Amino acid sequence: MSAPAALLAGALRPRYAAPVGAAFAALAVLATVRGWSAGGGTVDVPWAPTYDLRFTVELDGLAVLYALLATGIGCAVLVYSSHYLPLHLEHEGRPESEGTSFYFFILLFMGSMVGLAMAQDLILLFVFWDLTAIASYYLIGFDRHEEDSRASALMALLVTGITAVFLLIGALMLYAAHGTFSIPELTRLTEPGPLLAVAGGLIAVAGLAKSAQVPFHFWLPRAMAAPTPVSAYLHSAAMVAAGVLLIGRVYPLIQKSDLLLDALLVVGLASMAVGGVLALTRDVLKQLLAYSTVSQYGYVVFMYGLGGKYGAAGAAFYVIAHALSKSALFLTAGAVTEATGEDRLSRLGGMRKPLPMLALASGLAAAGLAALPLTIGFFKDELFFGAALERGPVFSALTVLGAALTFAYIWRFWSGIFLGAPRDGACGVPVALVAPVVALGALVLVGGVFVGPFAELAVAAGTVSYDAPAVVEPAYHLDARPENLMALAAYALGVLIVVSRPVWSGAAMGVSRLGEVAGPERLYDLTVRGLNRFSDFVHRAEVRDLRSRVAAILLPAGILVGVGFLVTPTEGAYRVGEVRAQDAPLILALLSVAVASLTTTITRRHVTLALVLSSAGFVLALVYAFFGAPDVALVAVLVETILTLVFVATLKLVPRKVLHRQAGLPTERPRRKVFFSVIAGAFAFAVVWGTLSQPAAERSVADEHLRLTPEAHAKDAVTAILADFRGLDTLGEISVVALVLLAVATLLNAGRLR
Amino acid sequence: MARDLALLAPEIAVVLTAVGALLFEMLRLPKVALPFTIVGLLVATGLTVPLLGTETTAFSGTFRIDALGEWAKLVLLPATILSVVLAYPEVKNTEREGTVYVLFSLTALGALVLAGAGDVMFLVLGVLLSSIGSFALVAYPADDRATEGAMKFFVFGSVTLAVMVFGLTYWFGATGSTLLSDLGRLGAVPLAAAFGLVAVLVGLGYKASLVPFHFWAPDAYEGAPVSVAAFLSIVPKVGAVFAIAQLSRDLPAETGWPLAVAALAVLSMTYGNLAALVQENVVRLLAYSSIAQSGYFLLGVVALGESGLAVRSLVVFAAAYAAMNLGAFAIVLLAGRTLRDFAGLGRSRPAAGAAMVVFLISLVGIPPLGGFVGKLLLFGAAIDAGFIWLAVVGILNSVVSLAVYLRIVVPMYGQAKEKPDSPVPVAAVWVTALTFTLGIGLAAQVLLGQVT
Repeated sequence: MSAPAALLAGALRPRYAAPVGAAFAALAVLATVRGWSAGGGTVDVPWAPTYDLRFTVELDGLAVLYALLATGIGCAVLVYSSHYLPLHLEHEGRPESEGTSFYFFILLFMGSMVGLAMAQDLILLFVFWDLTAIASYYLIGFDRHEEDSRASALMALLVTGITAVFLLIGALMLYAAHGTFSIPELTRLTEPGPLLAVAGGLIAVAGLAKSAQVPFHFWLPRAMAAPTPVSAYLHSAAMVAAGVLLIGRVYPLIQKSDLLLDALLVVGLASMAVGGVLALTRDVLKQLLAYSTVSQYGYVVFMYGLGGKYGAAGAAFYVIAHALSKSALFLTAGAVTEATGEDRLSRLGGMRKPLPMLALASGLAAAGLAALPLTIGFFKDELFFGAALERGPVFSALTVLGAALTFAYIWRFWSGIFLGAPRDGACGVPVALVAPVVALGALVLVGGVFVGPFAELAVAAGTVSYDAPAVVEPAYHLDARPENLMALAAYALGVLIVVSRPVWSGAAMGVSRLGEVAGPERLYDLTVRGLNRFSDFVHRAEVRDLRSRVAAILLPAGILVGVGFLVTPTEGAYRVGEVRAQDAPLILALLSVAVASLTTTITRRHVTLALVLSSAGFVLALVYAFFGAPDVALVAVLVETILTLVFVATLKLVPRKVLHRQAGLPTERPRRKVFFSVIAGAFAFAVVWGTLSQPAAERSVADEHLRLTPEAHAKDAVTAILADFRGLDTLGEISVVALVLLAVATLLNAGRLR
Repeated sequence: MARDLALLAPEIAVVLTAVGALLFEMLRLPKVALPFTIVGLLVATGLTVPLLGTETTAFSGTFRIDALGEWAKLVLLPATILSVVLAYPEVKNTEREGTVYVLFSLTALGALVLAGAGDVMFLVLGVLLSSIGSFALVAYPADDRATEGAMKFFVFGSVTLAVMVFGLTYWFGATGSTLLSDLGRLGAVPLAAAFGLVAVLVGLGYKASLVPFHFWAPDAYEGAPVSVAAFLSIVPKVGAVFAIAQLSRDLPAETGWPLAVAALAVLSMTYGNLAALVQENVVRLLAYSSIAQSGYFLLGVVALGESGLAVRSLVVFAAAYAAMNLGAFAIVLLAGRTLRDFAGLGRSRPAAGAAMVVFLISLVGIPPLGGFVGKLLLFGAAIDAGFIWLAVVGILNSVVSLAVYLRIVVPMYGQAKEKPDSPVPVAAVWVTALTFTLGIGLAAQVLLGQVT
């Protein structure tokens, strides 16, 4: 079991050459198969065990299925890209060396995908989940000089990244309730209930968004801006499959809630319908395939929603069959575009002549998707119908309709490329572009004849999801059982849809247009733009003058105090005292302070301003004297005198012209400033009043200090406090003064750096 | 007395370092002042190690020797050393090179005083010490941008400090004591308690650049030398956050401080990340990001007293934050200040580019890096304390921050421009920062075991 892990660690290193990458992928496939035949295994390494962070991976059925898909199809895609990528870079006029990052990220993606498949712990799952998202960002945005490509990559990252947070929130909720992140343990511990429904729902949303299900489907068609091998890999076997992998992984939790199962049914159906109808309207090859992927994963989600052993195992089988066929079809699209330079169905046709092998191989893949007998696809539909039959006739009818839609758009894809009148200008394509398609097509055929190994894989995976043995036996039955009849009905209906194209094409286009105007993609656009605009606004609001910055301290402080008032009981906190005759001089003094303060707001001349300010200070010193603190008053007078002198002296240094110009400037937004000051002043007033209404606190510290003064060998309390009781503070204050001097000295003689 | 002085050994070592470096500067030997500062601060760090695990106070309860204070020294002193090393290529051969190192030491001392404050006087002292030195450091280049930034910083700092002192007098009046441990008495006088709390949050919020008291930060960072910006974004900030933590431990819950702090956390995280989204200047972008990161810190503060994780989460996140932020600023010094300067960095200097990616994704909080462990603990502490909504806001903000940091990463792998110079000191700083960013993430368990 450690073999695949070690090999994958090797694969994660930047291996720059395509052959080496492909070889690693092939080795990883072998290692996975060997690990599986050896009976699976578990690796459990504690990371920070105190907080239940561990590195737990296990190679169980589900893990093997997705690991094989990721490495196997990855291998085919790497072989394909070894020839496709140089051609692609040549078209784009970029140096070949830029391809190296492509291999790095695709191997990183493969590694994290395998890790994701094996992770048994929600946090570890989240880690790999994010790794795949990051790798996909670089892969989708590979043509980074194109605006469209970057925007698509960002969209994919944001949609899957933001919903990934839901996964984390769901995980945290489960952890808060049950104290573990481990999925098997959670399966044991959880009980059906609202908590499970919400947490499971959040996790499922993450999975659905990654699998491009309605209403998160819009990122997938946009992501077709990626180079073809990326689409073939990410959007058939890896990234979108990761979504259903997550659902399969947490399915033991989800299936405990009927509500969630019903929700999955609805989402699956909606995706089947939207994807299927839109696939019928698209002209660009890869767009058609993208919508087909949306619809196909809709089936998988639908099957999970149906539940039961058919649901769980059928979903797993469906993923295999779809991944094989769909990656082959993507690669076909790339090869055809490479051969002709065209990527639209309406301009293609008759390609069976120049590319017979490709036509045959992709025909097999298409047949697989359309569920024709002798292909692996037949069994996927057999299980699909089987699962639906367990739930009743309505669902059966819906599944038949869905299968018919699939048949129709796949026929449109294949016949559009290969049938019809041949066009000029087609040249051959290298063998390496065809070989992977042929290999995948052959697998589709082999799976149609010898279904055993594939079914075994699916059963093993389904067993993990279902949390009980989910044995299903897909096989050919030459009788009139319901599944066979439904398949026949689907083919007939599919042919009908193909034939009646003129009748419905208008309606389908209408649906597509409606989606563009009012769909979730538009919502996404609006949100992103709104967020940007808000950010701009915040930025502008900040770059203002210095005075508004001071307001920015006073106003929030005032508001905070106001909130404080609202939440604290103020009853009895405000008392109006009485005014006595001997207070008259005090009131007079305070009034003159108030007048001086108001004057500062109107004066324009700087010297007057300084003098008015200092007069307010002097009167306050007088107030201290009234309160029986002559020493404090003395200090205040000294400080005011020095400050006034410094002020006037500084003003003398500033050129007269500058002062004059400053004084002549009009006040900006005067009303707003008045408003700010009134708010700040009102709250300060409320605070002072409220505090003065309280009875004075006991003078514990002061008495203590007075008592201890003689013991400190000091003549007065102030000295004792400064030199002894608060000696450390005094030392600190001295260092502050020293620091100020140092700072001033430095600035007077600072060095120019730039 | 002797015991008290022994407990203060690291702080005394810092003061002596500053004085010694100043002497060398006076003797016109700046080349000696630099190694002297580095060695002195290393000694101070070393003197802290034997104190680990001590839970006591010095000077009749006014200064605390506890996990927060000790770890602040262990994190902030090395961060100061790295900032000094980073400053060397910027200020070498200028007129007052040596005093710059002295100012770094003294400002760091202010942050340490804040982190261990047990008395409101020390809060004031710490803010003063860490502010005055910073003003001079920001203004040091003496060009227009630096002067403007320093001026705004100065005015803002003075006003907030005045508000703080004003509010603290109410606490003194209400409790009759300046000790933080006596704040429990505030329960009886809700109005004074509320006003004092607001004033303290204004003063310390300014130091920690919390929204809405952050307006000075982007301008000051932009004007200052890069090394000073790195220093300001780490040392005084962590000191102030720890001071809020020291204070919150003793405040009675009925003053409503957890809610007030939680509100500041939400504002800081959200505003910082949103404003960072549109910055073209990487220094400003990192300034806003550091505002958002202070918001994350507050998650740990909110959980104090309710969750055993709180102190650990603060310490671990502080260590991780110091490493990754310092590293990011070091790369800015190497590459340049605008986003355009970062174009092609990942190609012309692959190692530095990869390091920058590590620092940035660690700031987002992606495993297995230090930032992830720190944030996980912070979120865990907040959830433990019943602030689930706050943790959710934090997580959502982390997602937005991914977009912020990707704005730097994306151009790094675009067309390469000319290869920027890489002075040895800068390289040494980012390599050290990288080691710690990775180490804290991978060896989280070891660190957690040390913090009690």
